[in-house]
Amino acid sequence: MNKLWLIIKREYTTRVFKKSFILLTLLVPLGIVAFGVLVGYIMSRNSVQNIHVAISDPQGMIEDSSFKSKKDIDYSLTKESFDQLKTLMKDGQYQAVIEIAPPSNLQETNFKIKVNTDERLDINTSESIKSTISKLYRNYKIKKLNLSDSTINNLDADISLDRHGVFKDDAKISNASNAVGAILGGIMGLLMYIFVLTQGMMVMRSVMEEKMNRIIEVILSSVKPIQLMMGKIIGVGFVGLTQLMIWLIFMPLTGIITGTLFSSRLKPQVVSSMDPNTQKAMEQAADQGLSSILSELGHVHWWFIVPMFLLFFVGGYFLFAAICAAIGSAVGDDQGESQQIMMPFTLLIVMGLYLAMGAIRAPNSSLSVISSFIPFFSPMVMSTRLAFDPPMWQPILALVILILTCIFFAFLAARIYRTGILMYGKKASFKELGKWMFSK
Amino acid sequence: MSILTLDHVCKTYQSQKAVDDVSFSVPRACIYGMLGPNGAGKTTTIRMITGITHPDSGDVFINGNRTNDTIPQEIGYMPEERGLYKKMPVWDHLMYLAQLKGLDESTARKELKEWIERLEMKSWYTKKVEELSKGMTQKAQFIATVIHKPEILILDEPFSGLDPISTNMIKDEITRLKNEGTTIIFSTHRMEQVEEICERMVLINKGRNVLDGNVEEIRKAHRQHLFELVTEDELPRSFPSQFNEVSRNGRKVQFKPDTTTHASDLLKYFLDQNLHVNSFQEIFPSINDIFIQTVENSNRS
Repeated sequence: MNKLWLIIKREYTTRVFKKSFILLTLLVPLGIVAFGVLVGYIMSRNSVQNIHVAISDPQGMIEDSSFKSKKDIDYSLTKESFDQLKTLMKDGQYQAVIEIAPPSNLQETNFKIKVNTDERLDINTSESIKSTISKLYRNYKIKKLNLSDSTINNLDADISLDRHGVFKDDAKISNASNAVGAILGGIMGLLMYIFVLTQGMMVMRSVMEEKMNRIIEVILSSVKPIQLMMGKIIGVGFVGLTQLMIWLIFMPLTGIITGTLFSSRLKPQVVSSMDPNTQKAMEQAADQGLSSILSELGHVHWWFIVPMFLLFFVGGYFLFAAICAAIGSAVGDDQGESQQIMMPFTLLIVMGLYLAMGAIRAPNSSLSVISSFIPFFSPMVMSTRLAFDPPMWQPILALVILILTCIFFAFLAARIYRTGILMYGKKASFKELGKWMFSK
Repeated sequence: MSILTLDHVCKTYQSQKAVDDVSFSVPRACIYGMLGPNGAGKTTTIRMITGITHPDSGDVFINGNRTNDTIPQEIGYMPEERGLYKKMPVWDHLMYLAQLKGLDESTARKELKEWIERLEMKSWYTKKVEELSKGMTQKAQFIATVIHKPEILILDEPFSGLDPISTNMIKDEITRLKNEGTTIIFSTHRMEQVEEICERMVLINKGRNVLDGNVEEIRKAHRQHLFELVTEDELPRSFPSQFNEVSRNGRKVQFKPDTTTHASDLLKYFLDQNLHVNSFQEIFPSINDIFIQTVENSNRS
């Protein structure tokens, strides 16, 4: 026991007090902020081609006064026909000429608009042009139909669902609770995925390193292989937990920073390119959002979710790490081969992530419920579902199944490990791995 | 009583017999050589002694206690393929290994300080392992092996890659430890080292011990009745046929006389011929010759 502790201590301290660990732990949250900023910037710059477009309107469909050029594409409204504009195009004053004409009847809804240009229009630009022209036609129709602005607005019908419990007294569950569940569940599922995968790989690399630099024989003349394996898995696990804790503290901070940076800058531009209905809904959501989300966060069963999440974290990590240790011991120095053998297990984890993402949208679908009991998926899927108040027996049963699976795999892994770690040269086949598992 | 005894030990890996019935015993406080060609089963044998693997059948006794399924703490083992954690500072590393061997922290610190002094490591014990030269690493590894004062020290090719100065330093330490009562088991291919250092030896081939005993006695038992003379004067063109000249080199000549001829007959002939003899000795076969001969014999049978 004392030796196990020594091994855990070494595995932990050599990693946690390494410069790269400290840097990574601090930089990743910053990196996420930087990433958010970058994505926000890219999103906010609705990049279109920088071209001058003439809208040729010989029949005077549009009143000059009502036309405003947009920021991204430079439009000029003109009464001249395309033939007259051709020379200006040649001079390079315009790169494109769009010909419009009033529709022959107001019932018509599909229009083919001629665009004369030698430029190749990219998707963003075509979409922008289409929406601009569409607005012109819409305004023209509104005017011709003699509709007032208030009449138009009267056509809208915004719906919000107001849920009332019938037999259960849980009136506090509002729309915001779903949003909070989605965010919280998504974060937990993703964290689980990232940690299980990276920590598992760390265990594998460390096992391979010990085997390759041959310290393994020195260590094994002092401790049992199972002690070394367990010490390594537990030690690296604590490293993961440490990082997780630091990030859990940092993440909200970074979230707030990104939020304040972009709530002001990002919204107006993105929103303006959306249609008015969504725009309004978003504004409403934003008004309600923050306060109700904050109040929802107060209602979350933290006392249940946090320990459960940590338990699933430990279980999921342990399961994957044990497999990684076994594979690392069997393959030796061949990184490529280890990746190959890892592939099926990695795929299971990735699949778990997708199931978890599905569980955000439909936490109580039968797919989500069933997959949250399956050991390789449950750490991700169940921790996502935790935020949606599943019946308490479900996480507990899933946890029991996970723990039993862990014990089973740890047992097999230990058998592969103690043989594999001392084998050099010849590569072990799957058949041999099977033999190691069940030999004396 | 022997400190270490192997009694009909076998170990099979999958279908391959790595060790097939090895038995020998090592007396206390002696330097014991373990020889054998590559793949003979030396490493597996050592691993079973150290408890890294366990025998399928047969027993290992240390101080009379059966240690088949345990990791005996009275052993210090330095494997042929050395390895230390590259990123760890020497001091931390040795402290870790010492504690794994069961030393408490303060004893480990005290012992380690002494060793660092003795092996002149003061200037580099804070460095990381990856920054060390090969000789330095070897010293560190040696300390890791002996820091817990093992009764049995198992060294697998301890001098490979060492310069003569470091070799001597380690040799002196081995002798010192032996004089303090440590039993040292030496696994090597370097036969001259066995002749030089070891008192007893065992020769393992194809998973079996084919020869064991006192090194000098083994050499005597394998003597070929071969004599060498060095003279002051020119050698005559030929010698009596029963002398059976084997080789000559300047004024040095070797004979392998038939069984009826005694050594003194050789000497008498030279004196009768008025040849001044500078030296006269029987040539014992080297352990190298014995090794090759025994291995070939056991492979044939």
